[in-house]
Amino acid sequence: MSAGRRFGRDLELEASLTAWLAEGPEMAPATVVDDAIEAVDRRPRRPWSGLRVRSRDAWDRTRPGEPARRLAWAAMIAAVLLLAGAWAALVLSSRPSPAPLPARMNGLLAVAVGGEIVIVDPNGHRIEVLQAAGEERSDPVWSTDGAYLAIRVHDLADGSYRVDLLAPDGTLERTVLGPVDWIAPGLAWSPDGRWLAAATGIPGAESIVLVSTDTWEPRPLSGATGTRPAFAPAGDLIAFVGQDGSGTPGLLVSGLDPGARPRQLLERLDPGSISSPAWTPDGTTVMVIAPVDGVDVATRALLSVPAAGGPTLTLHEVGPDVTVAPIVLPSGRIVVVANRAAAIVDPQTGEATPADPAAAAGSAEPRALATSPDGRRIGVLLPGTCDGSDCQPGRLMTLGTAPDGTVHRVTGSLPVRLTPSDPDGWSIAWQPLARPDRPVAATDAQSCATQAAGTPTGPADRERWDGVVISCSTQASDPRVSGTFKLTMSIQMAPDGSASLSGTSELTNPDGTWIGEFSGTVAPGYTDHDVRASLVGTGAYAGLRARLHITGIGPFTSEIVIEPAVE
Amino acid sequence: MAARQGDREAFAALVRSASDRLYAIAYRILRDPDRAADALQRALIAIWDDLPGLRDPDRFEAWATRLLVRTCYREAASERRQARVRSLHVVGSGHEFDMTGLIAERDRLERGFRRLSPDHRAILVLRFYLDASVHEIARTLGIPEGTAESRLHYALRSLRAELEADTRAATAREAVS
Repeated sequence: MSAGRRFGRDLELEASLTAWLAEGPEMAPATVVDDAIEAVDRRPRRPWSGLRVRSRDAWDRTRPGEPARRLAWAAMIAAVLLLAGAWAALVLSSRPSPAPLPARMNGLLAVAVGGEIVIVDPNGHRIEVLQAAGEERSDPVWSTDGAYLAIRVHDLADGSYRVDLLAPDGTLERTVLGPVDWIAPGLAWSPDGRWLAAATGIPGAESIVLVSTDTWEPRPLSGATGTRPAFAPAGDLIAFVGQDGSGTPGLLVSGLDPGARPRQLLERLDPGSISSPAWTPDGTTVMVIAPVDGVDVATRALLSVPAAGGPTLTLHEVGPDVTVAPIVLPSGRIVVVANRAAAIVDPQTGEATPADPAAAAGSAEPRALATSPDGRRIGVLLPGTCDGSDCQPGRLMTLGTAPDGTVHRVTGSLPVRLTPSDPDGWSIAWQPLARPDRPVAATDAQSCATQAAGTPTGPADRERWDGVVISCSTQASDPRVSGTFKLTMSIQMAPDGSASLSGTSELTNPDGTWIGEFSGTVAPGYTDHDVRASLVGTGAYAGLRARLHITGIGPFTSEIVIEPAVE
Repeated sequence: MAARQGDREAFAALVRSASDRLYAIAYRILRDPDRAADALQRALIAIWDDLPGLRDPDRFEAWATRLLVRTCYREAASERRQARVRSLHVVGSGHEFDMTGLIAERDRLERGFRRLSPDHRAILVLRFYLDASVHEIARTLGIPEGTAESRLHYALRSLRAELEADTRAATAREAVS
């Protein structure tokens, strides 16, 4: 440091800064460290992390130090380049046929807690807090195309309520209902996107109001009072909990036409003992939790109520302490959480499979559940708890579901820590993404650049190669499997010119990385081949697995199946 | 190092011993306990992911600090995105005029420091909280020593400018009142 610079130092500022920085916490919150360790316990380490070190060590060991070794090294490099070039040529020539893949349908989660709406992606990143001074915001519900968010707003200044339409970044698009004296918790957006439903009026005697998204004009659903509306999958019926025209309480269903009259599906003395309704995917049945005997909440059970009328089926007893409405998976199975235990219930037989997201996350009772639009993830909102002044923050976690509806822990808790504030009004809404118009298919085109690296083992005819690395840039019609493909492999050569391949692969794009292993065979002359890979998604693809099967003589047939990862 | 080989218990012990120091650094860079906790949690997961890439276990502390500083950068970037909605809760009542001496100086430093860029905040924390030399800072941040030295210089200069601007604003407010 020059004398001038030294002379130019502001020693007083540095001393003040040092003293000021010395103040402040010195200990990390134990829960944060525990959460990270817990997350790591369920997290596969990225295989290339260790591979990088091992390959670097291998390079160090084989670095040419004498003429003979240098020559051998050069020969090996040339051979690997040839081998990699042959592989790249084969990959370049591939024109895989389309294979059906599920569209990417899951977007952001909108979480209502403590008067705020938290927007978070399924991995806990991109967190935005949509809040405004003097307002309590709750009950988010996404439009069918995921472009808008409708929320219930309580204006603390004048006590009024309204429904606002927001863009996902919190920009107010318009107020679609109100301000009025009261809007009950629970909004619904029809699957065809044409109607928003809310319950307004006097607390305890609300009317269901439908707001057209074409004209933004509200109109009441005639002949009934009620709350907690839920549209049928076809968008032609709406179920809610309330009273019919004769004042009989229970679960009702109505058409949307102005003249439609609500029908009583399930009479119960106290509408408050009935949970929010959930429709089955085929639209034939409404699932609710309600007292079996009609009165006593101790007899509450998951009930299957035919929408067209008919006998109600008692599927699963849950008891009085249920805080979360059931959710129905696209498979038709129902997720029920009660007493810190979850069950996946078969809608036909009532058979319950234990699945325990509450125990997976800790000891708190979940306060909200939501299924992702593709049905492969479940969002769980756990409240914070306080023991005296020792408060544990609430948490949001997501779980994966297998095709049979079984719930698996796949992501653990998200790094979203919620303050243990007002426990009411907690809810989750999962943003659907518009389906792509183009057909969803496997790889369209690839271009590969080879990286020469590898170590021959065995005699001079190089019967085996380890650590061969090939990188490819791949563009696919499904963006999830587009990106940079890196293969690190071992090649076992047979005397007849055939080979067996095995190694690790990673496919990286901005949303995440697929990590896995592959193995297969190549016929003599590198013609026919049969390679299978299994890749586990990270980032936005956490909870998913991609199975890849490449066969043929070239052009190859590539088939990629993306499905929930199963532990 | 067992944790490098995938021993999760060893990893847990390792991060428990390191987390207090890392949290203290994160808090001082971000000036927010919740964001510091988030940054720490993400850094710990990144440490697990990247630990096999650490060749020299003796360098763990500096290496972990580098990962933490990176997560702090990301957290600070997200802080800027949220400033629009969070600013509703920022206190700006002018009550600092009722304070004197040390408390007022701390407030002034807090305001000035918060207005610095994340990389300036980070290098000041490394230098004046950890008492790291320019050489150590350069190794921790993975930048040349010359870059570290100039960044430190500009960070101090920016902080001084912010403090002076703050003083001028306070003087102007006093004159108005």
